[in-house]
Amino acid sequence: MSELFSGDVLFRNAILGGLGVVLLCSLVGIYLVLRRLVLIGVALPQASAAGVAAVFWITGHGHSGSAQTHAFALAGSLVATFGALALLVLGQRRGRSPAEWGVGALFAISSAATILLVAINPAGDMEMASLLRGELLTIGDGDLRLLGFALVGVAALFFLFRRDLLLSSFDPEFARTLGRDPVHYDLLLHGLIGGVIALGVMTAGPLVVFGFLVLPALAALRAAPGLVSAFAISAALASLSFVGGFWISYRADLPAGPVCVAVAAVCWGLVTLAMRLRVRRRAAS
Amino acid sequence: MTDASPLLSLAGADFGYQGRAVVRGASLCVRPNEFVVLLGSNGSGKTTLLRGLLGFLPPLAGSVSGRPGLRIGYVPQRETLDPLYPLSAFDVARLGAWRDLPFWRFGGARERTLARDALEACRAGAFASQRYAELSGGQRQRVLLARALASEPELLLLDEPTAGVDPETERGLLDLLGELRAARGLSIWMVTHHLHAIAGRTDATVRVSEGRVQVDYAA
Repeated sequence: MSELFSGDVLFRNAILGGLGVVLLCSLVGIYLVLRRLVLIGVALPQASAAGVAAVFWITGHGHSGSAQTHAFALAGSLVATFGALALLVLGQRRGRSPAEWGVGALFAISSAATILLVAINPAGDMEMASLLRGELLTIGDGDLRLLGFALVGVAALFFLFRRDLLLSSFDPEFARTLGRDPVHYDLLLHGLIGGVIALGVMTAGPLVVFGFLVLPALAALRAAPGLVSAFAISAALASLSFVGGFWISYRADLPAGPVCVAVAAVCWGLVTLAMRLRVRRRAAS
Repeated sequence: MTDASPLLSLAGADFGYQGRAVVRGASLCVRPNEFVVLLGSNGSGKTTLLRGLLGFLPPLAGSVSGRPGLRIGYVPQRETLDPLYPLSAFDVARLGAWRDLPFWRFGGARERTLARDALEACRAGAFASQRYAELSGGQRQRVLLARALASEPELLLLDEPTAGVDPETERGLLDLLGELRAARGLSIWMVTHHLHAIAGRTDATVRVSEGRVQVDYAA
């Protein structure tokens, strides 16, 4: 493992950047699962990837283009993510059709748009394809700094508004009787989800983002006795899965993203099995 | 000296959704330390009236006036809460104690004490550490009542608290509400379908029928 950190900036940035992304995803993922927004977690990273692909196509560059191109790509990711999120939330509020209809349509359109935009942009083809595959080796120092700020910012917001987010999510009507407007906290939560997805997709690709939004949170919510421990377990599982997956991918010469997600899936499976065995043992005794 | 002025007054109030009135011309007063039930068939408008009293629905016509700073404790139907949340009965009760806690302050001993006292008052202390989703219907109802009490209310509004519980549990809950009213001077307004169970326990009955509200005071 130490060889991965020894001197090679490429690996160091990939590991630290990837860790930042999966930690952010594991925190936001708890609320994504609790609020039953998992399908949104599938569609939004794809919309974000389409935004990045669109910027690469417009500028005629790839992921390793100039810093300006990179900033444009991040802007494209943010605009596409928040645009799609706004459409989905507005559609849900109108309630004229089931929420999953809009999510399904968004996923199909975004996936097709991403592939087409990559296909017609020869400069962005290779790098966008590796982003979609979950290669993590193109994380620069600027991305790393941005991720660091985002991690601190998201963790701080989650900590500061932990009570209000829980109140508004668990029982919005009761929250209103306590003088909290659940709409404000819904906006905050959706803003955090959108921001993490946009930033995560730019750094690690949609597969890693979706995988780590869902799998560590699912495992944590099975095992945790309380909400605080759910956040802690989710973050710990995400970190372990990522570091373990990265090491396996390095040794086996496989793309890092899918291997990390596979390790997270194994962790989820083991936790699920352990919890079932515990329930059986309790029932038997 | 206690203040006998109404906690909440409706004067010719209409409540409804998307501009269409479901409850029309409701005029009533919520007084301190009274036990009132809201009766009516399904779709009659009693939940709409309750939502109007809670302030969730602004009046489409008429007026609603409340005592400044009125503290309302709300007990929803227990099925409305998601069992996915990993919260113990104590965690759920503590939510009520967060009413006066701004986001920048750490919650502490006061909130824990409020939650613990409320659980004890509702005879729910024995299962405080159990997961809320794994409790029986009657136990969950006690926890939701404790959560409302932890918010230190003057008025308790309950939406069908005895729905789906056996008669013995129902009697226990109604006895408990009576005790809480006596001990804390609470005003309690409760939606129910079970007329027989509340006989002799209430000060007034509010009947809602086809959107019209009629208040009958006990003799």
